[in-house]
Amino acid sequence: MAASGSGSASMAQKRWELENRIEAIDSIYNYDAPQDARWKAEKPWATDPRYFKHVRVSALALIKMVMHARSGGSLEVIGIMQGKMDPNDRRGPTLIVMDVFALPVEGTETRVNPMADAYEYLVNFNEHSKAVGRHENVIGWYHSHPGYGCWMSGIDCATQMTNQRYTEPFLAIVVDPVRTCSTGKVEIGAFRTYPEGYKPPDEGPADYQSIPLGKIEDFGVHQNSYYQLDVSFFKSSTDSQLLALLWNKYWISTLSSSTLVTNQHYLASQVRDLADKLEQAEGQLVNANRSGLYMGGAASGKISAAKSEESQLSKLCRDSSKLTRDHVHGLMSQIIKNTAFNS
Amino acid sequence: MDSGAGLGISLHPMVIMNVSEHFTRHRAQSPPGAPVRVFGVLLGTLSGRNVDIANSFELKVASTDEGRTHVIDIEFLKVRLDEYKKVFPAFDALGWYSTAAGQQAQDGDSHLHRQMCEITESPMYLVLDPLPPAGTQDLPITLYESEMAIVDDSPTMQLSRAAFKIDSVDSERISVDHVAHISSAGGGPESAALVSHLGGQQSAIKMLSDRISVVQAYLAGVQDGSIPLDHAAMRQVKALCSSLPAVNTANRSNNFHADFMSDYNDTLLVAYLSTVTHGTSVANDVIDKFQVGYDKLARRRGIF
Ligand SMILES: [Zn+2]
Repeated sequence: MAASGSGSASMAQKRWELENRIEAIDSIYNYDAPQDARWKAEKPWATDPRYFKHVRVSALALIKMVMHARSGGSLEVIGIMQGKMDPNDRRGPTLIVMDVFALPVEGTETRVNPMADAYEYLVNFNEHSKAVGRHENVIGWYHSHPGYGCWMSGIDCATQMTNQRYTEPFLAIVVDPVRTCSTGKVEIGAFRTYPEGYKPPDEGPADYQSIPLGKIEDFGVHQNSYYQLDVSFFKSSTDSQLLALLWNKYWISTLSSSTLVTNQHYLASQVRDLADKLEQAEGQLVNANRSGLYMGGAASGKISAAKSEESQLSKLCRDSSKLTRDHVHGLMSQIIKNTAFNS
Repeated sequence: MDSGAGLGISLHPMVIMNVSEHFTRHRAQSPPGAPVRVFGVLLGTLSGRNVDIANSFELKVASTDEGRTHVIDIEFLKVRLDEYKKVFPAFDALGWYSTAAGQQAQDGDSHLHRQMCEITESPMYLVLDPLPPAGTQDLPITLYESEMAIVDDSPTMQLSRAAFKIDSVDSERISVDHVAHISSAGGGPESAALVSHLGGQQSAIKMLSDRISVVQAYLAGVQDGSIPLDHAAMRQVKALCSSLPAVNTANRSNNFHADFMSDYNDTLLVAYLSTVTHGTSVANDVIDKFQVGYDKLARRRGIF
């Protein structure tokens, strides 16, 4: 905090660097329409199905998406993202999400291209945004998966494929508001689908996530028709300053809330889901053993059955570890608070 | 800050972020050095005496008279409001916001305020200083509410400062925490979760401890006479101290202790369940391997 007298020159230097860096950060908020149009006209994504590798989401867009998803409760909600592309980002071709807005449509998991239902709304809203200085175009859609993780269902893939065919560049983001609250960590995933008929290179297991029993089939079938993009977040210099001051105001709520209490219901449902999965795995195990007995020497078939069984059980292990982690995190905060306030 | 009409006003962080982004965007699009002021509408709910400012959107404002007089495009505002109400039917326009240095209402603002009265009966007005001076400890935000006063025998609307508190729902707090503390996220899921979780707890406890140090330093100062005694402050300190410990855990039979222990035991049980699951998986693995080996052995012996 205190600077020595001789250090004032270096202080000034630091200040200058800081101001310039801030300038650089804030320049992302400017929109160069001709540049964007030029990049889009080149269609670099047409030749590389995995052209875009990275997504940058503004602090505001993240908060808006999570809030909107949460306001939907157990209903899926949907909205539109506005942004631009940056082929020259140091992490590779990037899609930048500047802002989002909600659409008056619910239930995205029941029909393909739910945005079409609100097409007029979408176009008008976007026009009006431009009138107040939000010049970026539509860059994708987001929707919520309350409680069942961030991945693309069959319907989502179909929606995304349609849009990637006609309105590239287009991005899909999925937010899970329930898991966000239970883990205390933002659960978000960004996806793009491959063109139809494209065989993705086998690249080993992606980031594992636990899927409820009722959704596993849908997850498994479409797993290979899309890929996940890295997500990072950015904020403006004013944002940083305000966020730091905001933290001065409400650090209290970090201490006064307990995830164990607020998410009781979700945690219980997770235990329940785990039990169901175990039961299913057990049933399959018994079957595999029996068929093994009857088929006798046909060991090769049995081994492959056992292999898939093995992976299912090990998936279960990871589910249970995750569940334990959520619980232990919640308990840890309680213990910390108990030590701080009650002893 | 004093609350005139005794409204309970809560402000959501999302509104602050929205105004901040609105300002940053306009500054990035304007020539460097040009003065930037942005205007928008505050959305939220009003129930009884409780006001909840939860969202906002930008206004189209025409500036004349060298930026001193502003005229709101009311038609545009109404269209925009309808759009927001379609998605968030509970929200109404509660007032308006602007950005200004020193978080003070500016000269021409009462003119804008009168225009807002067409939309909502007694609008609120939020001023945010997007470039607060270094060392600012509090949010650079001032909130005004409308007040009727008789000036020169005619009722005039005046602005009076109103107190507000920051309110956030769980998901909002988590996402604000996320962008506040992590400059760029996306690292390894498991270890990162623990680090960010403990990091959040740690910074909150540190904040608490800092504040306690301030109180302590004040008391020490009063004791040795270097700081004048303030009875109101002393009463607050006394009230705080007497509310500790929050729960008497020495008495093992109270409800808090029972609930705490039940949470504790539930967590241990879940951990146990997870361990058993792992054990099952390993046992299953061993059995599979054994069967493969046994099958081969049996075939060689010609049992099948
Ligand atoms: Zn979906």
